[in-house]
Amino acid sequence: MGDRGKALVGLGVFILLVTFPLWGRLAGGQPVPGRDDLVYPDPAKATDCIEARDWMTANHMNLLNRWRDDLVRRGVTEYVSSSGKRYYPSLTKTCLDCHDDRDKFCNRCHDYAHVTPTCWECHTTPGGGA
Amino acid sequence: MNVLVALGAAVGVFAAGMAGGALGLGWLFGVVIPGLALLVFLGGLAVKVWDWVSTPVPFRIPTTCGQQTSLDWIKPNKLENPHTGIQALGRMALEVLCFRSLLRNTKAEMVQGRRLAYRTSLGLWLGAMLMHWSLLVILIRHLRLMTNPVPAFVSFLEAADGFLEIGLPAVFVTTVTFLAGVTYLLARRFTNPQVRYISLAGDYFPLFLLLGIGLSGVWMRHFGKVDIAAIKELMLSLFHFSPAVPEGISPVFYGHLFLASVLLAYIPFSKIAHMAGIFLSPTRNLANNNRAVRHVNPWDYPVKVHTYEEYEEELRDKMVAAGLPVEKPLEKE
Repeated sequence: MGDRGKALVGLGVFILLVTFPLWGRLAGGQPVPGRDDLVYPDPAKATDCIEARDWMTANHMNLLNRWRDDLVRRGVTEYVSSSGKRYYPSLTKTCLDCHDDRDKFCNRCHDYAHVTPTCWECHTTPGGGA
Repeated sequence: MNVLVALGAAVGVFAAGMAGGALGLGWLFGVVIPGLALLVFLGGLAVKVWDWVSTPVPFRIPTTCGQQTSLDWIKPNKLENPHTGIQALGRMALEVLCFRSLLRNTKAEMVQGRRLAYRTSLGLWLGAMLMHWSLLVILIRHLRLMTNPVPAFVSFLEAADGFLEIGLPAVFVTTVTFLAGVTYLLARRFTNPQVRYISLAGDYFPLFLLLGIGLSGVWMRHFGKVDIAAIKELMLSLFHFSPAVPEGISPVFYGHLFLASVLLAYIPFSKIAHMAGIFLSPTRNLANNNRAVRHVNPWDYPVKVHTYEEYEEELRDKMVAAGLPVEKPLEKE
């Protein structure tokens, strides 16, 4: 057909859109942050988290959600971990004691994975990070 | 039978990806196959488009269902019977963005068991709109795993899509609408006898692939808790042409990725090539101006013609002698 030029322009635009992630790289995108320099809280404060580390990595958001529901909505003031230890279900009064720097312990992964938690809409920011 | 072949193929693809991930074939299923799939997708589609644009279209053959532009006092239907390129573009845009032709879908029914009646059936249109638009939003959302830093439009779309803030991680609206759309489109092929009769394995297979991709994606986000940072590491390394396969990525991810790779590579050779074909359909992209504008058949060769004037010039004396009317009288000598 006569409109060969138009069709090829359309095809070109489509290919550019599909390969969008490649152009981000040319625009100065960062590749891979090292996992080796992940920071853990000061061992002087505590050596283990509320639950096992792997479990916490995957499920901390669900735990926090459950704590919020327990404490704020149901008035439950105690969380018994799987190891039998008792905790006060509070982000500010429990978690942030050790994880005391938002940039180090929260933003590092959340920014990379592009997760925007709503914690800080109410809670104060530890370590002053934004 | 068609259903079982398609279902078996899709399940087999997912199982192969899972097995590959479990057996530590991360390089094959995470790097080589997705890369090849992308090349086949873009290359195959380019070849198709080249093939289509190289095919001559001798006549204007738009399908129309409205008044053609003619005399000034007859109101033309510009969308249903486009007369100019702009009007054809308008009709095309509505077709591509709103699937306007699906609004004409009808359903034949026997009323009271004896009278045949047709009525509008918008289910197909709704299912297609849900599926296609949700899929587009979902694809754009996936850019968060392929770009660093993530562009603002991706963040915006993600925030808008998750505005219900149900659950953690939040359930996206498009997750629900996509699965609903695909499920409806599948159920329609199962339950409507007429549609079922004309459905081939090639109709079911892409639907099963999409459903599998959707379900494995939901599983990874809301139930399985895969290592998202490791997955992003893999994807970014691919786009920086320095592939590295991190440890600890769930086999489900490889199943998901293999399903997506197969779908991508399958597109140029299947009905899903309509994503390019819709733009190159002569029945849709041409203006209906057959009689207003002269269109020359591209493969016409120069034909030797003998016009009436030449004919009369040659035989005028004989015509006059036979008493036939002539345009130009014989010159007196």
